[in-house]
Amino acid sequence: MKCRDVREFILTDYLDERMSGDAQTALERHLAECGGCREFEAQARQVVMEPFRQADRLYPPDAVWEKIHARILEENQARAGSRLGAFWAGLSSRVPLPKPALAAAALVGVMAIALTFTLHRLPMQGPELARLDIEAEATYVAALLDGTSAASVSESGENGGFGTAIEEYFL
Amino acid sequence: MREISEATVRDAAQGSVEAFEAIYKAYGPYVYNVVYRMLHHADDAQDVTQEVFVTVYRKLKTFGFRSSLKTWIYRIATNLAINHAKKREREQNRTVALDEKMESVLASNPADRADVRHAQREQVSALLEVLNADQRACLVLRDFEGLSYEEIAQTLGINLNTVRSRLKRGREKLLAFSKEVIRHEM
Repeated sequence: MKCRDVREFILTDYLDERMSGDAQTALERHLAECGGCREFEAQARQVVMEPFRQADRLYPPDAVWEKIHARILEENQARAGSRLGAFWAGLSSRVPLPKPALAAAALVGVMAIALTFTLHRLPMQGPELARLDIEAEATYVAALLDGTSAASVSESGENGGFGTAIEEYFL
Repeated sequence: MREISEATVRDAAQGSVEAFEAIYKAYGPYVYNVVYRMLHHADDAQDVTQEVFVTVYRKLKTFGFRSSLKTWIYRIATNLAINHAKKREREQNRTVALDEKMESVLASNPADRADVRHAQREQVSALLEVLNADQRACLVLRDFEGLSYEEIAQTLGINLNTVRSRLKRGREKLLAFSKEVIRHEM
């Protein structure tokens, strides 16, 4: 093994204890014979290993979690808000919701249909009844003017006509 | 490190704050350590740690359990830390001058300070400042977090040879820097 290769292994696999078997045996045999590489190894341990291994562990202050906590609560609120918005967006895309003017027009239409239907189902009254009364009156007056007994016939039925003494006296 | 169950991960992905807090308690200190060593600045480390966990919370639904949760979180942490370090260096347009780094190391002689731990921390940070962000990420994951080469490769999304060469070059830089420091001391 050459010194250059040995030193490369020292800075990586050897110091990091990744060597084993024949490679490690060969490297250690070289170290036993080479003073320069032994010195290099000692120096490497002192400079690139010890300061880091002796370093104390650091702990984050409580304020770090408090800030994270506050931010994820904000995230949760934002998520909840966007879920509600998405629900409405999804609903309106599946079921087209009417605009106010259209909704009002549709409501008036429905009410008109309902009113007509209701009136049609009730006994005759109101304008229709009045129209029939006028027609009956007109027929009666016309009958009187014609001197026919249509009116009396229609009104008196089988008892109508000049069948009484009083009627005969006046007419 | 306490184990996080799959059910806890799923609950957190559904928005459970309690489940997410358990994940933070398990991995928060490891993430903070990695990020702090990468950035050597407490405020930046806290901000980036915060970003890491907000990102984890947002992306947890996409975590497919193909890798370990620890590796997945480390990947997010190292990516954000490397990006932050590179951005900071670009903004400040600085590669800290060698003399400035050496002064940090020389000033951190524990014999001159009551706070030996603080001195050691400063020395470690000054050493890491010598490295570029990619080399630093490899060294931090290996020497502080004890990840294997394979885990580092998976975390950083690089191959094993790249892990090995970044460690080698990073350590060579540290050795060269150390020789410069010794020369200045004499």
